[in-house]
Amino acid sequence: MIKSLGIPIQFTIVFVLAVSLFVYLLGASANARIEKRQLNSTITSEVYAWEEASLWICPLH
Amino acid sequence: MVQPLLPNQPLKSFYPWLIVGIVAMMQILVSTRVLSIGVFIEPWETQFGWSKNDISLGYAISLLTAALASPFSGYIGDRFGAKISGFVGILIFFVAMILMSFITELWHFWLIFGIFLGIAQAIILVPLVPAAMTWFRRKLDVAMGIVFLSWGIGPAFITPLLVVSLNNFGWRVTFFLLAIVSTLIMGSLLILFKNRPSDINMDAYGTLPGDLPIVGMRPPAILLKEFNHHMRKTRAYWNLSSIHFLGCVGHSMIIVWIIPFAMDRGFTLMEASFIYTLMSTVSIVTRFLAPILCDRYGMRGSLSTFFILQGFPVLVLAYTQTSSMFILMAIIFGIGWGGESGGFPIFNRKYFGQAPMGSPHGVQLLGAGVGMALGGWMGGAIYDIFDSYSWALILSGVASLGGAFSIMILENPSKLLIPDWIQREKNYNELNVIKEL
Repeated sequence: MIKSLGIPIQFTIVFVLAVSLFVYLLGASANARIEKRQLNSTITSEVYAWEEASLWICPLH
Repeated sequence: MVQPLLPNQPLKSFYPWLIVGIVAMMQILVSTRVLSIGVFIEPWETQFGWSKNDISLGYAISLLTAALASPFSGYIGDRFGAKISGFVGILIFFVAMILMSFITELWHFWLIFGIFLGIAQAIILVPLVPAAMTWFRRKLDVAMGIVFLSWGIGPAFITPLLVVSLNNFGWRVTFFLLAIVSTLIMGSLLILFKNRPSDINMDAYGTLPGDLPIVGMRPPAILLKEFNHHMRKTRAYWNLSSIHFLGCVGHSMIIVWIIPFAMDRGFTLMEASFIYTLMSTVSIVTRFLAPILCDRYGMRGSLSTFFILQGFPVLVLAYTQTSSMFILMAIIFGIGWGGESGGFPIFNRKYFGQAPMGSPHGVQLLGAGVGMALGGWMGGAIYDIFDSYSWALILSGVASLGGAFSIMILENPSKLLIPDWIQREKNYNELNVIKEL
């Protein structure tokens, strides 16, 4: 039985992939929302706290 | 060992099915406030100016809270019995539902609906399914089919009643009435509820001569700890949770976003709602059939088939352009969606026997709840990024097919993965009697 830190590898793969996807989508979604607001507005638009936090958490955004 | 026939034996033989009926009814009453939240959206938008996102966040908080509280609730149910935990949960439910009729701020809604009612749902519902399982040595498949059926028929019957109440009395009185009526019905049902067959001196349904009886009113704490340790050491304990997670990511993305997606493809709101109703109706049938098929025709094959039926049509939906194909795929998805959750109690029984199931069931519901919340959220996030639902559909399909693959590589269910609980409990009780002598 393959385990990592006492947890089966099958479970670990699902957990790691889900967390990675969540972080990536969070960052990408925040990025897309900010860009859309900037395109639709002539003045500098507000960036919400959750969007800033999402961009900070995601290493790819 | 079958009990000698007593004068009230016919009544007792009916009791396991009464327990199933009680569990089904409790599930209907507790889950209605979450599954029927849609009817309250418009009144809250009008009165408070809350957005759909604000309200759906409360829904997601509630799902997540219930999921995170599930393992703890499962343990409480095993340790103190589903009856005691049920009464505690009903008390929280009653207070929270009454408070819901007085809310004025968005954070009131998130706190009461999201946190308090999420906790109440977990404490009431999580211990009930493992307790009902204890009542059945055989025919567990039919019993679980009835329990899972209740998730589907509840909203179908209660939502129209809520709409009538909303139109006549408004949402505040509706919550107040729902609190009073639900609490009275659930309290009365719980009085009749018994945790184990031995509580009324009978054997579990389907006990044959030669089967060891389930004894004692409550599982001994020391054995509970030992068996939870045994279960946590198996791969199935963890993998069933991640499989439930994948299955719920797969269908929640569809059930939350199918209406806007269908409208995106040119269907009217009425047609899109009809497709959703069609999917839900088909799923009711397979909710009942799934445990039976899993028990009789092989668990891994049956459950992975349901996962494939849930995942494959979604991949087709991402590319189909014709209306008839869209509807056909939605129906096939409904078959898979209904069958997705029904096999898990059967897996638990085959892998862990008659051991108290609160812990594995709670961990599986943790995976399911997180998957439901994450899948529902992902659909919206992906639309924000790509202005299209196609990637959400592909992700949903991949999650379901990944779940199907994970099921196929689970342990062979032909033998128990842990020691036999009934034998161990019998030895423990005999040892205690000798010690007392």
